[in-house]
Amino acid sequence: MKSRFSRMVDAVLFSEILKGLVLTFRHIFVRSITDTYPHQKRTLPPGYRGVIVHLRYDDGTEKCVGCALCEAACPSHCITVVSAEDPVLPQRRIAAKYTLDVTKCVFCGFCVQACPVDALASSPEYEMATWNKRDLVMDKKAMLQLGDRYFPKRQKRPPYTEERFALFNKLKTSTFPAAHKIAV
Amino acid sequence: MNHPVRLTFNGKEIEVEKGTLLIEAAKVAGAELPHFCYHPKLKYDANCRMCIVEIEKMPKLQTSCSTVVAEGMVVRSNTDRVKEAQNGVMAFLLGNHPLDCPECDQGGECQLQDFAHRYSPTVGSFGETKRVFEKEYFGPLIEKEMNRCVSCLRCVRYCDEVIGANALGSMDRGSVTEIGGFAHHPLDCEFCGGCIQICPVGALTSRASMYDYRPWQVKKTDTICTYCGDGCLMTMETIDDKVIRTSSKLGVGRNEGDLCAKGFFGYGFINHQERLTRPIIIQNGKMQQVTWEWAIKKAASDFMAIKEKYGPEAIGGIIGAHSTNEETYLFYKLMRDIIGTPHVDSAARYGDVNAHQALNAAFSTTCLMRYEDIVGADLILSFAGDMTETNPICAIKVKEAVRKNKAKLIAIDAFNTQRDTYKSHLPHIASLHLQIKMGTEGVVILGLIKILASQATPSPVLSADYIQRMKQATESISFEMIEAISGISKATLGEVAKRYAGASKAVLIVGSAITRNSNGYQNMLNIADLALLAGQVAKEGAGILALTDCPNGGGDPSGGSERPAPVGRENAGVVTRGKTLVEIIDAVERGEIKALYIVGDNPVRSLPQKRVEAAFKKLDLLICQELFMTETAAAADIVLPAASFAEKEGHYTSQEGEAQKVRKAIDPIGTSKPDWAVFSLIAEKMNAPFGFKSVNDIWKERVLSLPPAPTLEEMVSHIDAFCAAPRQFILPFAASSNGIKDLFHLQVGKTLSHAGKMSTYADGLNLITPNQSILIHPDDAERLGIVAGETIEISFPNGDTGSIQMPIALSNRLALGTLFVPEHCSMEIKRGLPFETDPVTHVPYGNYGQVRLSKVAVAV
Ligand code: SF4
Ligand code: SF4
Ligand code: SF4
Ligand code: SF4
Ligand code: SF4
Ligand code: FES
Repeated sequence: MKSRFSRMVDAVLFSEILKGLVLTFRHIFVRSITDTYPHQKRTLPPGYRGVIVHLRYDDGTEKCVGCALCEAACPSHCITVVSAEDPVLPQRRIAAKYTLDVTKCVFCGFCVQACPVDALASSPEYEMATWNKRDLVMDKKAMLQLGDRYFPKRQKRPPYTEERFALFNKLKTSTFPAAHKIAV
Repeated sequence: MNHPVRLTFNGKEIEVEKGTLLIEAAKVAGAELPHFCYHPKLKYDANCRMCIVEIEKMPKLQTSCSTVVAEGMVVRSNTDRVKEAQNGVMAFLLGNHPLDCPECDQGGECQLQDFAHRYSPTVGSFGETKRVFEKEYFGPLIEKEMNRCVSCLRCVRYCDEVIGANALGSMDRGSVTEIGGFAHHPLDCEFCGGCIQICPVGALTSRASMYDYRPWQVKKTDTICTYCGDGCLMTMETIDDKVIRTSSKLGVGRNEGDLCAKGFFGYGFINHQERLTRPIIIQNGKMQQVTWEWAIKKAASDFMAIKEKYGPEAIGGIIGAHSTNEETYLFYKLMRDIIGTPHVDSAARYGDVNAHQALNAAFSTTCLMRYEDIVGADLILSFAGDMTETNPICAIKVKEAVRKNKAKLIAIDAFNTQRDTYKSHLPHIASLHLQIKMGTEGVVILGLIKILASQATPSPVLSADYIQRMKQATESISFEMIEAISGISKATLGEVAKRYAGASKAVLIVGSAITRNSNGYQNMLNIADLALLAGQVAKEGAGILALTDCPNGGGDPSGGSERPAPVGRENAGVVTRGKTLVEIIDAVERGEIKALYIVGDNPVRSLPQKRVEAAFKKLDLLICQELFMTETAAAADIVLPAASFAEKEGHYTSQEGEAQKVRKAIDPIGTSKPDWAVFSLIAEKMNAPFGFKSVNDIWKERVLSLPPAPTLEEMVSHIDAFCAAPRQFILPFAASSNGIKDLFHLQVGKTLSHAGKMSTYADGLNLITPNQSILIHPDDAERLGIVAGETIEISFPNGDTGSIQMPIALSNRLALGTLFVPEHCSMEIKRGLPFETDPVTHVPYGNYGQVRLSKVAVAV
């Protein structure tokens, strides 16, 4: 316990403040350990799980086949897939509607693992601040855009399906009434 | 259990009935054996080898789907040897499999997927290139992806054993085995969708719902099909408010998991874009959408105004075939109690009333047999040659009886014995087929009665008095006359009578050929006599079944006009006999009825069009409650949008008399409301609320209001009274034809893929039968020099109207000299056909007539 006198001296001379200032000044010569975000950004570790994005094949076609397995895998129910037949290329299954609600996503990456055609990826994107919360419900277009940005190197499309469908449609559209799907 | 057999399965002692297959016994032991080709509905084929088990004292592994249990058997399915073999089978199956589960509609409910998880090696050893088949179609609605096929032949066997269409077969061998219609031409089968449902993998899928769903996304609701009176239980699968597909469950419901084309592909009308969604007022031809509040207020005040001005009897009501029991009940209650008119009738008046009233008159009940009796019968006498078209599931029961239980089928109808490619046709499988002239069923019945009466011996059931009376009544009818009219000789009739009376259990099935055609009521009464004389009614396993195409065919027995007053009003004495359907239209014509409330019925289409339309013009008020803007709705002043059967709760009573629950699968489309809700609203606006909180309350009240079912003694005395009544038979036809040559007999009826107008809103069904054409036998067409698809001119020698033109289609199942017009495209035809009503039941008959065909001169 300090004497009453020394406490008075401290109060008059603001020694506490001085002490603090000394500490502060000392740090001018120490290397800083914080990042000056947003001017300075960290390099992310490999496998970082940011916003989920959609990928394309090398010919620009989207990979997703609308199987809704991601929807089934997602623990926070933030994915909605409405599958349908491709109006341009009948017989091909696509996701006619695909939304991912980033506000609900917990970035677990289960969807990425569930996807049988590797159409999804965890991107390094984490800056999703926005003025409008609705922007955070991403549709397929937005997700493909993000995917294009972060995964410019694309996989080759396996030969098989598209070619087969194209051939089939060529053979059938002229003779077959329902080659283009009917609305029942 | 009659003959229990004890065996050990995986170390567990179990006891099963003798004759059980091991694969079923395994279920008792709590083990599910993997399998592909086995299906409880089908005879085993043992071709996939997946269900193998090890049985002690048998050196080789055995297929459990084809091995019958034996006393003391020791069976194991969990040994390494079995596992290794299962792995082997799986490796072969998956070797050639495309594994495109993400795109495959079966993914999530696929047996191959499921079993692959548990029974396959983790890595495949198949190094060769996989086989690739081109995608193909079976007809417009069934998609075939043979790469996914595991060659289990379930589809082929289902089509052969259950449906009897024999449309599928397997072609080629080994790894390139392929399922197909023979000879690679487009499949023109019954489109029951059974092969789609029974295929364990995604090799056969429905085109109508392709890619629209994943099995785990759909909500399933069990409900009753609305397309005919068979009362099939089906599962409506929906996502949000859209019906995605329908399916059925093995062994459940009266249909035991089978459906027909209408049930499987006919759901399209529910979400059709033309469904009415808002109430509409039509003034001077202009349509105006209004709110419910407004529409109900107007309807109620208009009813009151007319009641005030002309009295309650100036208001009439007709309720259609697709309303539930509750709704029909509430409608009668609204019209009788609150509006106060006796003039209400229902769509049962189009023909079902004949069967109901006649059977009730004879036996005091209409529930004389069940489908099980058809399957168990040793003889089936059928007056419904088009049963496959009108009541497909009932026809499946007949086919089951004939194929599996070796029952004899005697078919009496105006069809040909031949069938169209890949379409089962009952006369085709009949052991005796009497091809009569169209419309002469009544004469044949009289002939049979005459023979049976002359042979019958008095017994406790048949009094000598009754037999004597029948003999006398048929005395004036000679077999020569019968043969001249119907074309059936005495010898043939004798044979039929002998077999029918001699059978130990015989059932009699009556179709629309009798109930909806001229003299229907009398013919139905004669049917009752026929069955009584043969002793094939009111005994175990025998009976009479009248087919109907109304889902609620058994629910509204006497039509509206003769029903007793609802509960609490029995003593009010309001109910005088009301006018029936046609009488109501007549009264409208005469200006006696000023306001008409039509719920789900379309008289403009079903009755002579011009007359009804002219009559409707005289009405002060026509309110129509409908799903679509039908011809009747277009003539109305107020159109109220109704909810379809998928959007409401209630009960349908099938032709068998089975009251079954209809469940709500989706919310009503737009602002449409179930019929009962609309009736309640109107009643409320008329200051006489019903006070029902739910459909269940209405059901309870309705059930309580029904007279109690007759007891056995009451039934016996009723039958005695019926037998004691005097008889007089007159041949319904003059023996001579009217002398005009080259006339065709034309009949309007149902087709396999269409029932009335509603089904034409289901695009799936439209694909099966795209054109509205008139059916004719190929030989007749050749004689006239016309080919399929060509337009032909139909003129009516007896009718007043001119001629109409229609394209033709060929069908082998029609007899020479007859024509068949599907009901859904018959409106114009009906104008020219003769129209009459039954003297007793007032059922309108206008589905049969004689016409002349002529080639249309082609303008070059
Ligand atoms: S990362 Fe997880 S929470 Fe986010 S969408 Fe994927 S599965 Fe759902
Ligand atoms: S992203 Fe992948 S898992 Fe999701 S629907 Fe598309 S293909 Fe299926
Ligand atoms: S049939 Fe079954 S295993 Fe084959 S692709 Fe379809 S879902 Fe997958
Ligand atoms: S199509 Fe389906 S049901 Fe038919 S054999 Fe192939 S796998 Fe079996
Ligand atoms: S038989 Fe009748 S009730 Fe059954 S599915 Fe077909 S139309 Fe529906
Ligand atoms: S299920 Fe037994 S062999 Fe196929």
